[in-house]
Amino acid sequence: MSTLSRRGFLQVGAAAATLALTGCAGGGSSGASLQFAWWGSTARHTATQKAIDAFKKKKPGVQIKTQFSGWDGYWEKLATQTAGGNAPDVIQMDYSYLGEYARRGSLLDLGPYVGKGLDLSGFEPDVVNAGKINGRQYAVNFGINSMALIVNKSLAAERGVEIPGTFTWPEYGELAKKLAGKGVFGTEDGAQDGGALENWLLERGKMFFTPDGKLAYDENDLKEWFTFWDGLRKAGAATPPEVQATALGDVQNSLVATRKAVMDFAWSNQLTAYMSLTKDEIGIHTFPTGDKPGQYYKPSMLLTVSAGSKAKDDAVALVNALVSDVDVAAQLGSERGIPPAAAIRTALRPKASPSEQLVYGYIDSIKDKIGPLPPPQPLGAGELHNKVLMNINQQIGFGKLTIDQGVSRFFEEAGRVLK
Amino acid sequence: MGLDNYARMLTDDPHFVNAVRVTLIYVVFSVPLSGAFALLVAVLLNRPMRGTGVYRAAYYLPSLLGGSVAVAILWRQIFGADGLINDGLRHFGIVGPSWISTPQYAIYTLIVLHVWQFGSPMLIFLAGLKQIPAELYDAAAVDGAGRVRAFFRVTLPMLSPIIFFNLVLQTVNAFKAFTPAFIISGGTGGPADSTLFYTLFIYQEGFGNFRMGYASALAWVLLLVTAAFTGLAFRSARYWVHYAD
Repeated sequence: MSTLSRRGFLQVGAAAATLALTGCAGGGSSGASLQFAWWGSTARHTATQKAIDAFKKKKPGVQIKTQFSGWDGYWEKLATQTAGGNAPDVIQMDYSYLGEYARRGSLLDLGPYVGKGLDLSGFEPDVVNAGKINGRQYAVNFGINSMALIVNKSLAAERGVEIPGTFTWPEYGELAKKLAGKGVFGTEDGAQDGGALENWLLERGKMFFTPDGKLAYDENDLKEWFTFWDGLRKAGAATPPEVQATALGDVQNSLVATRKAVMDFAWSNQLTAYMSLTKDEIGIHTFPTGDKPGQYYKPSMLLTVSAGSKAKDDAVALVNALVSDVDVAAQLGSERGIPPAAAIRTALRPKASPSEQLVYGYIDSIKDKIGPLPPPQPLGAGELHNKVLMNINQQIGFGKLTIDQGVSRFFEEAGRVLK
Repeated sequence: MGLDNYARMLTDDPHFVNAVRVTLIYVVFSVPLSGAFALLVAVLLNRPMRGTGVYRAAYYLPSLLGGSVAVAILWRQIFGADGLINDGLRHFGIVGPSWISTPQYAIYTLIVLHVWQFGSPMLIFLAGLKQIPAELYDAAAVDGAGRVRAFFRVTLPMLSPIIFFNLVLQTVNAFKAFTPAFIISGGTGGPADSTLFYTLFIYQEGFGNFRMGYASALAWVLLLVTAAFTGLAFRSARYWVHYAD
């Protein structure tokens, strides 16, 4: 069957290796080829592609290769590429991972480019500072959002329940109980939502992390949090664990979109995605309130340039165009959040879709009720408040751990995960 | 540093214990079940009938699709709370749970998925069945053996090298299964770690949390355990595998 001799096999192999080598050399020498990576939904991919086309018209000769995916898998891929020394040149970054990548030295300090190729003049100072780690400008804000409660108004109307303008956490629990029934739950299980937990902590005058990266809340806080949600699950007001476990990853699996729950903890820029997934009327509210402000303006996404990029000037030019050049940035709309540059906002707002208008209105309306942006997070923070929190809440929900065991397991894992 | 990884694995990591447990359940159930199922279908397809080729192709099809992402997503739908299975159960007045998102059932939906992909062992069995000389069956019939008896006294012993081959191959495959659990749990191994296959755990540690050292240590353990199981199978072979020479 095999007609290939051993020598023949070696020759073919050697030829292939030579090809691979020359291929590498060819890739390295062409300086004007950029890799641009982001996560998101289909709407975002299309819009970003249009913006890239607009940028290419202005800077002909720059090749841009794109890598896009959903949130699932994005961080695994990026971590692998970064370790392998072939990270994308321009990287869409999340605030919870920014500290990690900056401290590892994987990101380019954009400070020297500000005012010289990178125009941040239309940004509010807070918005500029959100991209700084230890005083260095590692990232540029790519959109502003805030926590937002997504409410399925059609389901609420079917129950004949009016959603009040503001409510405290205990009132939120009561509201969820009133909304529950007929196979629909009042609220998703917010215990595993990092955003909800942070909001709840901030309202009690605590926060996730101290500026030097230590956990800034204790066992009692977390115990109270889990107990609150356990009560709601047992009362049938919050989704049971087997239902909550189906809400994986992106918005299309969320419980408000699949009509399993009336209220979801989310981010304001996700409203557009929610509205596109259902015919129901969808509303946007603030999270439950407390003694202190629990919400803040967050960079929904940031743009960063890889420290190992071979075409740093072109990469910075692309970042600049995406946030500050009207012709390019306008293609993106407000789907990633409210554009940080004033000029882009002015240009886009009149043309925004009804759902985007709601988001603009929401972000304006909370202006006086928000607190400052919490400090950037330590290594492992993304893992702790996404994966570990969810896993432990599931273990409690399915009765595999008691609340006390869950709390101590969480702090054990925190000790291991945070660096 | 290096040995600490192994110490932590064995003494201080509940996820590791859980990943081992889940993987062993998967191997212990899915390997014999899919083997038996493959053999059953192979015996049925070995009988002369019209359109054999079409049937063989049809039964092999799931194996071509089974490893794919699309089928894992389909599985999520079939075994979901409002999925196909529960729709069927509802006709009998049974309200089924969400199989895929309840910890005590989730792993078994993955085992069913594995059993459904019986195609390649089936083909190998089929080839083996064709090799068994017809005169052995004639002799058995003359001696008064019925069909069942002939199966256990002629077919199984003659097929034992093939069974052995499939056993080793399927065990190794089951140990390194990854795609179904990754897709069905969205990469989390959830709910509550119930589908955290060992390979998925390695992936999370290495590429998700970026603890490459720990992930490498885990991978070494997987290699050794797989080798041990394979070695055990070879050791046991002398007692039940018959080579007609």
